[in-house]
Amino acid sequence: MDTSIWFEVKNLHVSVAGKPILKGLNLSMNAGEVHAIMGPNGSGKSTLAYSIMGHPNYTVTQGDIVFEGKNVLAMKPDERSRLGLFLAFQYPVAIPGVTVANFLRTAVNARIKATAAAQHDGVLPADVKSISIPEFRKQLRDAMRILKVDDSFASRYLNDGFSGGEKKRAEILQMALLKPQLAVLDETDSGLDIDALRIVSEGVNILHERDPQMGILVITHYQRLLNYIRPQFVHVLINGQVAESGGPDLALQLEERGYDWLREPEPEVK
Amino acid sequence: MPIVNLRPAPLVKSGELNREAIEHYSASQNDPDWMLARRLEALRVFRDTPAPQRSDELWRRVDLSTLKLEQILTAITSNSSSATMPAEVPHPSSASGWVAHVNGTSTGTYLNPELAQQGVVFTDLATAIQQHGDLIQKYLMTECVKVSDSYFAALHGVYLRGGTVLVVPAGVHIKEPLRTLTRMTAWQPDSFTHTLVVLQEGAQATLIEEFTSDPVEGPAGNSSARPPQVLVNGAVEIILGKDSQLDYISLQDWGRNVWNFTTERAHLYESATVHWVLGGLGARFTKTLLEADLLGPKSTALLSGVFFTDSKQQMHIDTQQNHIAPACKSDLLYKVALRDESRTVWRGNIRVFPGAQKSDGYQANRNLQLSPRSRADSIPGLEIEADDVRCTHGATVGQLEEEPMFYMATRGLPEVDARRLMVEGFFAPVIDRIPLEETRERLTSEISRKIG
Ligand SMILES: Nc1ncnc2c1ncn2[C@@H]1O[C@H](COP(=O)(O)OP(=O)(O)O)[C@@H](O)[C@H]1O
Ligand SMILES: [Mg+2]
Repeated sequence: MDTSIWFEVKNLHVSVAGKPILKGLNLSMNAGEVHAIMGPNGSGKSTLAYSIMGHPNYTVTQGDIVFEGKNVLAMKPDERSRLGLFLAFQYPVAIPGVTVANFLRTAVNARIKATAAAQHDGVLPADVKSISIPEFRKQLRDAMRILKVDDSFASRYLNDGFSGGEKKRAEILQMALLKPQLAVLDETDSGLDIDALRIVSEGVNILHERDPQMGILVITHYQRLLNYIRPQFVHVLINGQVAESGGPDLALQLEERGYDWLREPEPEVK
Repeated sequence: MPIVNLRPAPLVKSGELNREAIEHYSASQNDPDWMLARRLEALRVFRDTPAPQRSDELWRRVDLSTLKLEQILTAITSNSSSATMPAEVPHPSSASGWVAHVNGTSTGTYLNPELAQQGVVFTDLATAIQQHGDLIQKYLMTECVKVSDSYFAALHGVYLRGGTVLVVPAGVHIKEPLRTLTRMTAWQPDSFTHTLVVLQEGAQATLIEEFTSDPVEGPAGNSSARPPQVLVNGAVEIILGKDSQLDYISLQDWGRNVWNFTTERAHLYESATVHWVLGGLGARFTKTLLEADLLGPKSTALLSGVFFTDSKQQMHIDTQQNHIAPACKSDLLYKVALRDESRTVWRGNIRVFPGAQKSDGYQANRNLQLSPRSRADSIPGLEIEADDVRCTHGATVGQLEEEPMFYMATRGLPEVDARRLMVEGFFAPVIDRIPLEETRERLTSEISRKIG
């Protein structure tokens, strides 16, 4: 394996319910970079996001995903998360009966314990402490301030009855507490009005400023979000492959011209 | 499995329980004469009541063939004060009052003197029988739970011992929860615990009861012995006068050698309210009959339940919401999570009596099957004999869903933590109704311990 590339997706083929969706996708990122993936509906953007996290229904039939020299595909989703990968879902899932605070504290503690165990050959050292309640509260309050959500947010059941905008804020709130190394943001802009869009993207930017080594993979359908979260690289995903890569200009071009010019011509029918 | 198992032999040969044995038992309890008379009457009824059979709808799904009832009862009759008291007896803490029991004997009670001055009675049953005989005679198994109800109610009437009495006079409001802790040591063969609650007009109280067994470790040198079967045959009677309000929480966490049969009933008079949370975690086998009788107009029964079974535990819960007076409300929500090869059966019935117009009855049973080898049956029923009513029910059996489990995994939660959160979340809406944080936390941590 080439370990010099920080994050690499190599010739990725993924099938869902037996149907091939990704067909040889390639992507590389360095630490600290912001990349955007754009593409029409159904082109496989969410499939890529799920495959990076290891959704059980998304079967990798060929190819590799490597992060900091580690074979991601061999890991379970929770291991990938603790390795530093994070996905802000396009459609976040409700966890009824579990408050935002309880969920996040459990997740933060699970990371602390699993990380400590991993450093000691899988045995959890006795002196590993959970995050203290005041420290957790401080971090949570800080994140809630960044995302401009009310204090009561912490005691609501996660994503249960949340509006579209609240769900997207909750995703970035989780990102703030889990402090990933690589964050994949799947259509974090969808369903947001302009004010919410600004708050959420500013939130992402603040987190990036705090941790400039964090890589961000922004998946979006529209160029709009990229005015706020500015990528250095833009890739266009069409029919399960990267059809074009370029700088920020490519996003503007897509805004003007649409995606059709990048589509492969339909095979001629005789 | 045969649906009908006509087992002609009764669980107990009628010759086993005789007058002499009960007289002896009664003497060991220092019963007054009226109490002895009650026991003998219960004995008469018990002998005339056929043992449960699978041909009865109520017992159709129940297998009692391995219950050694006769053996257990013989042990009680001959040895009624076998309690080996543990050296240290913890009691619950409460500013209002508490009662602690070990093996059917009170080990301490406390009642805030201000409440005592206002006429509140809160003590163990034996003390109440001694000190408040008239009051107890009036209510004990006379109007609410009766020995004629069933085989196990009759048996309870014969042996009832230990338990708690709460009587709140008219207009008295008790703010802090009253608490009881009823505990069995490992080798205690039985419990016939009885709870009697009477709230007079306009009274308000919260009572939290916890039932536990010490872990069975066996006497020294005999730790591999199979723990003997233990019989719990309890009753709960709740009588709520006009405009009174009771929060009643009872958490059962008996040991895994316990066969638990209980009869629990509330009588509600005009505009009375009960909020009744029943929690079931322990016991090898449970058969509970719980009934709310809405006898006075505009009375309300909110019935919540949290049940979590594992290994080969069985729980059979029968609930009955009886709308006898008009304009009453009953709302039942029982949540059940099942692990391993455990099995639960909930049978719920709402009955609206003729004339009980404007009845509002609801019942829901939600089951979360954590293992494909577990089995949850839900049998809701409605019997409606009035025309202007609103009655609905819902029952579901679900499994852990893939999408939330994946979502939680992407946040770094190992599967066991994700499961724990899902189960906690499943129960949360019911547990949130318990008015004491300490009890909520204890229940939540028991649940999380059961998940592994
Ligand atoms: N769970 C699934 N079952 C069946 N087909 C799916 C599933 N998820 C995605 N697909 C299909 O895969 C293709 C790509 O979907 P997706 O990755 O969600 O696209 P995008 O995010 O770019 O809109 C679509 O044709 C979609 O219908
Ligand atoms: Mg998508």
